[in-house]
Amino acid sequence: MNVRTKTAAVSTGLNLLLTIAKFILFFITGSIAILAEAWHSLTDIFTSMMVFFAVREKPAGDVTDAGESSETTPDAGAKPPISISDLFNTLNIEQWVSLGIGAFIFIAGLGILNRVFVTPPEVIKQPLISGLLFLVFSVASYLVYRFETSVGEKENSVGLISDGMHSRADMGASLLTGFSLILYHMGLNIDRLVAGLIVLLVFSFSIETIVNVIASARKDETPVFKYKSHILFASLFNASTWRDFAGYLDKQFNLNLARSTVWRKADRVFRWGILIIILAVYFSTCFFTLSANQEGIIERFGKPINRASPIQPGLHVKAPWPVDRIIRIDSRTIRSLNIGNITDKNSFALLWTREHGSEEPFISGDNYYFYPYLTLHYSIKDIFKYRYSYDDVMSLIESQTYQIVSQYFARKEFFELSTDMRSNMGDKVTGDLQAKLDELECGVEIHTVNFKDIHPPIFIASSFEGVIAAYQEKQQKISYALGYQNKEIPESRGEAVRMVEEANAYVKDKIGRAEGDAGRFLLQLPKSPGYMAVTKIRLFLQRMKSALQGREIILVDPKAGMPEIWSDFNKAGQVFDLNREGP
Amino acid sequence: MKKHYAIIIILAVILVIYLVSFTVNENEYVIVTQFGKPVVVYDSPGLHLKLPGFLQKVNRIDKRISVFKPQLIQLLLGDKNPIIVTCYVCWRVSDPGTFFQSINTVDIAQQRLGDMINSQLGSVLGDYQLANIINVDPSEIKIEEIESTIQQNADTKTRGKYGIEVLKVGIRRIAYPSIVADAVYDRMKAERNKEAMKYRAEGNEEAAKIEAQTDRQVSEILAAAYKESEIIKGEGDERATTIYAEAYNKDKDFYEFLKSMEVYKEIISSKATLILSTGSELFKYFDGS
Repeated sequence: MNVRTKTAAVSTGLNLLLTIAKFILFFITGSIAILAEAWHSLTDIFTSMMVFFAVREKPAGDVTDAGESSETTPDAGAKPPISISDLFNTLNIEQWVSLGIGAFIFIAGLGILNRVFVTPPEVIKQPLISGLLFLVFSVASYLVYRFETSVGEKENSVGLISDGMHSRADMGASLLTGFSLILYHMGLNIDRLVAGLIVLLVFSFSIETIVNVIASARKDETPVFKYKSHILFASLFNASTWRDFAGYLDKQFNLNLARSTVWRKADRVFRWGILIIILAVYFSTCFFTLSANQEGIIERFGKPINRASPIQPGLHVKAPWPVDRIIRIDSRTIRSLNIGNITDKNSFALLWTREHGSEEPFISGDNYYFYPYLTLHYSIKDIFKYRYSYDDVMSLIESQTYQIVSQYFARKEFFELSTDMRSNMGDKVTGDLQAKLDELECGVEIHTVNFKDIHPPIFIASSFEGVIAAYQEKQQKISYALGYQNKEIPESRGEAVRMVEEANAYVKDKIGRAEGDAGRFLLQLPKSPGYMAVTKIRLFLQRMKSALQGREIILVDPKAGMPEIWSDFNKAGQVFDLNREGP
Repeated sequence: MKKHYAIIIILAVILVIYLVSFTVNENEYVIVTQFGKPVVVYDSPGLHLKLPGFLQKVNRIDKRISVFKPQLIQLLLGDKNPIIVTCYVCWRVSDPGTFFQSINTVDIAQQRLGDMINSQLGSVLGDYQLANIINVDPSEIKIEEIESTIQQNADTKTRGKYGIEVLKVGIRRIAYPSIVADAVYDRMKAERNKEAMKYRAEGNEEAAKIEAQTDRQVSEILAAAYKESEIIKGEGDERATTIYAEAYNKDKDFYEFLKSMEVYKEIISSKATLILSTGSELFKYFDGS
């Protein structure tokens, strides 16, 4: 390695360290200007590397290899250019990488630009220390600049001198960043302005990289920064640039542009075109649109001018920036806000015994801890009150809801809240909350307050479920008893009916029999007293006949006196001794 | 060259306008300071002028109402119950000049307000009991009174020297310290067990009541039925007796005769041996006379 390559290598290393330090500072502070400056420093690494490759391959004092200073006229003393069709075939790996780096840095610049214009401002941390560090970085860049230019002059290397000049630009950017941070510490925030300026430098580098790589490929040279952005831009206002470009196109595509009247006035067309574009961009700020869910406020020098009627969706006209400013507010979208406990989306079910979100307990009037899950749906009904009354309306709604539900819970028993009052609770809280927010004039309409879940602490949920089980047991026992009642009483009623009916049947039987017997008696009773004696005799004899028929009869003649021995002639040998006791 | 001058002049005019003008928005106060000294306060929106560059600086203060939550605080109530309270405060800048000089930023204002509100919470809640905060009897609850007292005390202190108006103080949430919370959890558990036992006992009680009532009702029904059936039977017997009496009373002798005949028939079994006198009425024709 010779002195030039060593110098380029040292420069690359220093730029690498500076870049790393600046990215670290960005992550600490959050300053967009530091981010832009870090990317700008990253470009220094690539330029130093290119210079390293350039000076490594070419001998000292060769002006063409090392490129020219920034004031060099483009294309002066160059080799005849090659055609566009052959251009990409002639690019070597180094040139392809350089082109890629140029494109990459351009895209990174767009990203930073987006942060400058779109991202809401953030508080910069440690601005004073960072600002002082950037002043140190600017000194480091100055030393790199001095080191490279002195070696470049001594070694007659334009590449090193050119890279040194780039380090000087980086010194300027670091100084600007450092002062902006110190001013931020003092209360003046120009972070975005500085970031915007440095982004221009980043864009400038990416364009320079692409242009110089292509130019060097066309002329078979080592890529160094021969063409500077500001010279490229200034040349667009020069008639000779357009003339040369027309000549090149004529040659490449066999056209005849150089002689056309329009093309000869291309520089003027370009100037007017630039002016028209600038004016068009400026006056485009007079037009704005509001989408279906939006309403708008126009502020003229900070004062709202349409208080009576918010701007509705569609295309509208206003005075240009900076006179009028449109403020778009999404007033129609129904937003939601979780209060208290927030359900975890991954929770598959809202069970008492499983934690289903981030939880914080509330206290009921009977001193129970419990976890309510509330979701509030609201939208903006008055965009002026919403915009100008409170700096954070969502925080107000959240705090007010917390207050109302806490006090509501503190007046009720847990079981009331979790059972019979639950259906009315949402409506009650919605009404109370709306009344409070109207009183506070925050311009918000509450649509619903949804109590998704109310449950006791997880580790005592089993006790609550035990109560429910005991309640079920109670109901079960009552049901069994009622079952017994349902069986016994109807059965006893049936038995009672049976008893009564049996009694009725008995009566019927008794009376029937009595009537039968009486009727028969009356029928048997002789109709004439004269018949009575003979009837009696007849009946007596009939009865005697039937009574004595077939019976064993012993006839005794009272005239013969009492016999000593009674003999049954039907039963031979059976003799009754009347004087003996027993058979 | 003249064109270049024209462009430079136009750019210079734009730059000067940019440096000397500023807008005051609807939602902010602007205090213009000259080398740090407040020289003018703007509280109405519009376009205003100032000296350029660093000679005069524009300081913007939000005039809208801010809501912030002080740190949660543990304190003792008047009945020695410890609680943890989180609250919120609605405040706004009432005097931008005083605010700018004494507080300057929203963060500092909220720190100062937080100190004051927490102090007020401690002193005011010390005069109240837990039952004034958590109670199923709404007439005992005094939260609104507590909030109002804290707001008035804080507002009185901040309005003059801080340039801040405290519009509202609200208690967001109340909790118990962890040890008390554990005791609450144990109590809840014990109460649940008590409740479970009560339910089981009530179940037994209700079941026993229902069964006893059922038995009583069954007895009543059966007794009533027995009574009714016996009365019915008695009435039937009475009726039958009457029928018999009315019929047999027509001729008592004949009834007696018939009944005797039936009795003879029934009492003389087929196996009985009868000893009859030949001199009886039955055998009066037996001797051939």
